[in-house]
Amino acid sequence: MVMCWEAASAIVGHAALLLSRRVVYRMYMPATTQDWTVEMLDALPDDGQRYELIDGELFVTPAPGMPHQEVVGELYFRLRSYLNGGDAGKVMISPSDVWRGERSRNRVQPDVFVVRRAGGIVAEYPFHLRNLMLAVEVVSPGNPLMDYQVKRELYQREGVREYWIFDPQARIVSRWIGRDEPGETISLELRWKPDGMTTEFVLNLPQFFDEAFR
Amino acid sequence: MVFPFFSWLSNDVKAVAVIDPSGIELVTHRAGRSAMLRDDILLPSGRVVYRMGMPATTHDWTVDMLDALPDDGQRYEIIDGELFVTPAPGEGHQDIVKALLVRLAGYIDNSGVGSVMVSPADIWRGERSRNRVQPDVFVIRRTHGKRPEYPYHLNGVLLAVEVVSPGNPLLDYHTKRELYQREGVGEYWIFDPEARIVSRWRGRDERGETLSVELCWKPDGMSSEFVLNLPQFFDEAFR
Repeated sequence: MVMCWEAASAIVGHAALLLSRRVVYRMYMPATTQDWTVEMLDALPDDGQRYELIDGELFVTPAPGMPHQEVVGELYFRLRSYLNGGDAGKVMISPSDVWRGERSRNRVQPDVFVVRRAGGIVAEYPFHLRNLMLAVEVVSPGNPLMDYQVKRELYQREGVREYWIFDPQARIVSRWIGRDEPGETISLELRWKPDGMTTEFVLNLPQFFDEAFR
Repeated sequence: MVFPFFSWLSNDVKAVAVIDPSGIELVTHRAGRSAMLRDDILLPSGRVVYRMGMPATTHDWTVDMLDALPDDGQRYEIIDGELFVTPAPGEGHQDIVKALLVRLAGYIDNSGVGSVMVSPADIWRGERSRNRVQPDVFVIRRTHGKRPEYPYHLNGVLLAVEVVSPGNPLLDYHTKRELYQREGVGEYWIFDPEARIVSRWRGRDERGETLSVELCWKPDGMSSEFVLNLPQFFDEAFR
């Protein structure tokens, strides 16, 4: 879904009214109007939607549904348990502030992500994309292009080590390592062993989805 | 937290459909087998799969029973006597089917290696009377230039393709994937028109590929490769 706007302002209230499902709005600004900045985002009221900026372009994602949050919660719990066994990274969930390039014009919010620890110390907040060992998005009906195309290209280009997309409806995971193309489609078992960890993270996917939705 | 989606009763039918906690799957439990089809049409407009779990006391669905049904535009498939009903697809689904059919036909139809086909079709395995599936698009192998006898057996399918629609992803990503891989289909592709990606499994490999840039395929017997530039393919399919 693509919407074209003549001006950068006044769209936020409308976005909430447009659709009940989680949908991405790409805002194409004419060159004569000002781009969105992080400061403009900070000034917005917290209406539960997700506002992300990539090079001044605004992406608005309505609040997610329950299956989305169940998968996020379950995955965060599993990753946290795993990473507690070492000193490699720290798992976080959005809302959050992750950026790259020109700071004032970039802010993305991966659903779940792991920030690298260097010498036991986590990078400074807001985190830079290149410090992510892992970014995870849980796809919702209505916005798949954002996760499968826009964010995949961004994360792969900016050096995020791994990118996983969980599809709660199809019960599959797509995974990209570094800049690899194609990615993998995983339906049974997801295994991950980042640098600095001695053990492997193993997710039995049918069981994972069952437990997340229980 | 399962909640009833609809229910009705008649002389010989007791049916209830539920949405599971993830809001994903419609499951219909039935005590009889007739008279429920007309009601299904009233269900949501998205493409949705009904899995019919039969009590052991009733008999399974057979091909003959499917043949006796009126043609209401829905897709009826049975796998080992279990019925899967898929409402007629939307426009985007058919755009992909058409664009892929044209490209695959140009690639393989005059080669003597295979023929591309679309559903409705009749493909089976195992016990004939209890199995009929309808891949959206498929390529049937030609032996010495000849197609096998119709209805085709799954082990003669070089390539099966499903175009996923919102509402039924479990059927394509799990039920049919497991069926096709187990029964010797050469390759299985799932096109997701919304995400603009293709998932692909070769033979029985458990790991599939998620493709967003280019899809290449070269079945045995072909001298050239089938190459699909995916961004361009989706652009042209939806034009």
